[in-house]
Amino acid sequence: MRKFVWHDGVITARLDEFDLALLSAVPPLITGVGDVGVDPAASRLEPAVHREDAERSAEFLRLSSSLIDEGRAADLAVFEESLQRAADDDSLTAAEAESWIRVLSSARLILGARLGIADNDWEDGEAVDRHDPRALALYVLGMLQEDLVSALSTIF
Amino acid sequence: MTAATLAPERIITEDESELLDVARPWNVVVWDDPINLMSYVTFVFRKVFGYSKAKATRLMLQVHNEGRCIVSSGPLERAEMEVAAMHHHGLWATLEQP
Repeated sequence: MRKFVWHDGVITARLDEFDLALLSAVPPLITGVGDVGVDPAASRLEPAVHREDAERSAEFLRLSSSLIDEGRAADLAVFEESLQRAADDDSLTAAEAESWIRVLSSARLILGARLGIADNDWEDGEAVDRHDPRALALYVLGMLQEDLVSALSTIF
Repeated sequence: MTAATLAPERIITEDESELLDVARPWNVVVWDDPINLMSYVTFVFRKVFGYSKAKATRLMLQVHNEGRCIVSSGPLERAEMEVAAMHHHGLWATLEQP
């Protein structure tokens, strides 16, 4: 069963208690990202733009990071507000859903970076400990994101 | 129909070389990563660049299969905005001037 379905101008969310509990844990995960060099998630969220020019990359980051941070903060605010509503009446607008897919991407990138995932076949291989709750979270958030992208793709 | 013209010789003068350097387009390169979903990457290409589903899917598959793909090319300022949009969406993107 798909967790999100586009119908009559809104996206209907069919989230169970586990989904809602997991999604509620996403905002602190994102706001808790540490510094570059300490938390591997930090450099993944702000990758170097000029691969062979550290100085130029730093300059780009200085100019653009506040813009990107503001965009991410706005997405997170929309996510937190609409998550509560999705739990109550099961609906999301397309604009809210677009914030959600970016928030889910950030959350999954943070988990992936901290789990040290580097290969595309991580879901099949032995590199990731399947008993690590972060691996399960990464997988389930991926399923939710997949359904949400699918629902948005029908209207975009 | 226009009259045939003689092809001018291609000469780059010194005063043009700076112009050519400034006007040389920048490529926005997206790199493969093991976390972002293929459907999500396709959606982002459609959303940010306005590409058709077919073009966005082709570029996404090139990223996935070849490890990287040039998704856009143009003036530096626009390329920087596009890279920032890629990062906002969580895609791993860089700039290159060939």
